[in-house]
Amino acid sequence: MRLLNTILVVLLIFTGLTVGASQIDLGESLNLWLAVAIATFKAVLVAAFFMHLLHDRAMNSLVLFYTALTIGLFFLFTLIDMDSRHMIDDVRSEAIKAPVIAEEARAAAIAAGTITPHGHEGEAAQGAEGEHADEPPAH
Amino acid sequence: MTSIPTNSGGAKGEYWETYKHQPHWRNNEDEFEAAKLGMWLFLATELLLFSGFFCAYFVLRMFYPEAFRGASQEYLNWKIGAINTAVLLISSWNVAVAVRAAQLGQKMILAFNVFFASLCGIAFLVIKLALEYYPKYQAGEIPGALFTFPGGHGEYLPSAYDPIFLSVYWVSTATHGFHVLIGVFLLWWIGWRALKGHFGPKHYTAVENVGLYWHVVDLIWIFLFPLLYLVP
Amino acid sequence: MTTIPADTAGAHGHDDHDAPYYASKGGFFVNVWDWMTTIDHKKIGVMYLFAVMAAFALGGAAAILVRLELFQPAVTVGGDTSGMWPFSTNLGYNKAFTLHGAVMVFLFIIPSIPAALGNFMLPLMLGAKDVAFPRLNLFSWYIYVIGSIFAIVSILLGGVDTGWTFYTPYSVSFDQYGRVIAMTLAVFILGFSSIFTGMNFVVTVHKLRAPGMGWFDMPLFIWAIYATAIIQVLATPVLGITVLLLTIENVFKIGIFNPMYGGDPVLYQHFFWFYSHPAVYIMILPGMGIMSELIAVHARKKIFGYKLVAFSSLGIAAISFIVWGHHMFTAQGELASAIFSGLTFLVAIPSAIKVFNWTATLYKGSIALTTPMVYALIFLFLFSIGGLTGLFLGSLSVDMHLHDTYFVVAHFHYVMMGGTVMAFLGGIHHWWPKMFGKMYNERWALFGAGLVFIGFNMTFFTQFFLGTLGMPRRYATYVDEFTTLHQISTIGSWILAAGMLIHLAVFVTSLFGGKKAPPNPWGGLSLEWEAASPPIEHNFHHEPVVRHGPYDFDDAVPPHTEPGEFPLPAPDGKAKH
Ligand code: HEM
Ligand SMILES: [Cu+2]
Repeated sequence: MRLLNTILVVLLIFTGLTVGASQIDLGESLNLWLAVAIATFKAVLVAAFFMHLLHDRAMNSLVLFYTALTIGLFFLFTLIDMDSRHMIDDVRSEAIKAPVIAEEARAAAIAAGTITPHGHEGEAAQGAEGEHADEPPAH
Repeated sequence: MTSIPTNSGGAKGEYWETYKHQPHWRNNEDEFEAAKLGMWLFLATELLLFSGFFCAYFVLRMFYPEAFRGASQEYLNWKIGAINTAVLLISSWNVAVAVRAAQLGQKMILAFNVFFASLCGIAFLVIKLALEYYPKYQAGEIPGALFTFPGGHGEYLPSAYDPIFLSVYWVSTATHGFHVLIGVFLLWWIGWRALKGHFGPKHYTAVENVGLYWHVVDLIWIFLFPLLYLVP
Repeated sequence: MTTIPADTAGAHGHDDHDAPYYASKGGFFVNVWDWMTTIDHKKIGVMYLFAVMAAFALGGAAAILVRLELFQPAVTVGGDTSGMWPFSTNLGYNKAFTLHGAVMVFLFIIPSIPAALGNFMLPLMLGAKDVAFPRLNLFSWYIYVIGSIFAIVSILLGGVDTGWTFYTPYSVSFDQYGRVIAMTLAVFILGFSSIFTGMNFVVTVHKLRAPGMGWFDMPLFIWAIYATAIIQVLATPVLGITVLLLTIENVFKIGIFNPMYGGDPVLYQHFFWFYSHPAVYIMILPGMGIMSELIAVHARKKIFGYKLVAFSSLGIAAISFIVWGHHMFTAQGELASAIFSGLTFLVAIPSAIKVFNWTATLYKGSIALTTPMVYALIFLFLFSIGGLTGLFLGSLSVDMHLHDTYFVVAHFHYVMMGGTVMAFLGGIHHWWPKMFGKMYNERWALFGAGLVFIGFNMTFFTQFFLGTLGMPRRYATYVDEFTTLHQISTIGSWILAAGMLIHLAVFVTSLFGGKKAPPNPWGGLSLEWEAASPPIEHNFHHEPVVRHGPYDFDDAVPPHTEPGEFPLPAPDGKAKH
């Protein structure tokens, strides 16, 4: 009982921590990794104590372990591919991936005055030509 | 399901005292362990199912970092997410306590915690529906092609990529919410059986397994919350 | 623990206790209700068996139509342009091959061996009374039925023409009347059936082995089914989420896979193949398991390298998760392609270990050319071709040329049909006496097997040539130069179909007029042969105790047989007959 209470408190504290961490700008990827790390830590606590894997048969932990491994492989290889499209061919996939329908709707909304483009932000949000103009095509 | 015993009078004749395993098992112990292993395998499939949402999230975020950042801050209120996280964590604690109570034979503590957890689940759903889904639906902040580029966001100029973030948000939280809903029904079922005195130190398979399910629902939310609501 | 006297488990008692599992329980409706609500793994297995056979017939009919259309270069059948043959248009052809692929993969081959033969045999071979979760088993059967209904609804609505892979954006762009939605939902539902079967088997193997049966006393079929079950549990949910997202995209037009809304079609392919490559091992691993049984029992020889065969099943299961990109060599980036190409070769190692070990087992065995053994030999031959051509395809540069040609079609038919289906047929013949208590007609079955072998090779070997010559898959027309090869292939498909029909006839005549089967017609040593033929409702009268390994043909007398019937080998290694 004491143990469960402690875990709950720790979990709540870490929820607060992850909120706090997100308010500091550590750069795009660091923030993401930190959030994932904290979430993983919380998940491990839940699994180990609330789901009492720690005091259970090893087989059940093994199931969870292999599940995590499988998910890891799934993410790893998919992300390797998605992050390396531009390496040899300089393929611009914006052309096939442009959200044309959303762009039309957005243009219509701007024309109707529902939303207003202003300053440089207006152009920057124009998708492919705007945001990524001077980066190598990242996809 | 286990059939309800005809003789439920007297503590000695309690269902959990006299429970006898199904005929193809050698003993109650084996049956319990098997049910738990089966549940873990099922939970593995749940986690893998949700991993698809996360994979889509990471990939699309990699493609459209600006849109994801902007949309997350603009359309979602992290306070609501944080409250819901706390609600689910507390309910998880309740369920963990309930399992302990079942092991110790504390019928009323068991039932109370299970029902309290189900209330938390309902609170989660109500917060989600009333404070997020419904206002979003009214404002036209719904996924994909249905997104209507609503005004009312002040300085914020929606990008054409915003609907993609909202797509991920809607499908993942809706699937998660559906799991919460199922969990609530399961908790009622457990609570009801607990009140009838079905569970005790010698037999609490269903409490254990529903508990595991509920924790996994919580566990998935632990990842969804920071990724959708927080990461700047 | 009690040891059972060899002859008490025979099927010649008089009380109800000895009745076969399928014994009538009363009137017609009583029996129907009994089968519909049964939680007996044997009945569920038999229901699955008939269901997958029906699916095989449906998918096979579609295949015959596809081949018929390809008999001549133009999009006609026999020069007919009146529209009498609905499949002899481009659209109709696309629907026919999609129907063929989707039915064969999701309704037939995935559930075929695990859900039908596995369900029936797994508890028997483990010496258990049932699978771990009998109700879940029944539930998974009904999910299968519901999923099949969705698939059939989709066909009735007009059919799907996306190919069994449902690639986006095509599959989310032109849906009419919710056909694609119905089909993808069907796949989603069928996936759950597969998951539940897998879960059930994993737990059964862990918790319900007979006393005295350690992990390495299990028949190799169980090892294979166990490895399959792991893949089913770990891979199928990703298929679930894939087709769920696809369905949602179709309904709500969200953009995760659909480029029109900003999604990424290659992401869909990753999702799809993350399941579907492991799925090909869901298909083949149980077939490999059956192979180990057939070879050992019908050659009366201890399996060569038991542990290697067992672990190679797990090895295949593990490696199958990291090679899916070889289906996407022309779609994904170069780095990923290079990595996946390298990893693909790994999977050949455990597969080859198995093939070598089976061959080594045959060496100096006393081979009985029964139908099951003939199918085992056919498997060895065809699967080797299929696996080796898989290696060609796994080399990045070669695949650039061969991708989406008939070479790929030939490759996967050699592994799926030449591997899994042949093992399935061998397994059915092997266990038919056990399942239904009747012998089949060996001669006609051998004749059928011969036709299947000839027809199969005519149909598909030609396709290797077609593919290297550049015939793309999924086209209703072709240049005139390919006509001869295509016609040989089509004629082969008729011979193949004739062989299958002969098997069907053999099974039907066996059911209604076959000789009564002895409990152990082949002299097998695994536990299912200790049960009666057909088994009683609770499988065994007493919980069996394992006293010898499943392949100890050198020093154990098979249950229910006379010592002279299946003689132990003489010291020089040759069996005396
Ligand atoms: C030695 C093992 C194997 C290797 C190296 C291998 C390799 C490959 C490769 C590289 C492809 C992609 C060809 C392309 O689309 O360009 C392929 C396709 C395919 N393989 Fe295999 N394979 C192996 C075994 C199997 C087995 C055992 C099965 C099924 C039982 C199987 C079923 C399939 C199917 C169904 C496809 C085509 C899917 C489609 O595009 O519709 N393969 N294989
Ligand atoms: Cu593959």
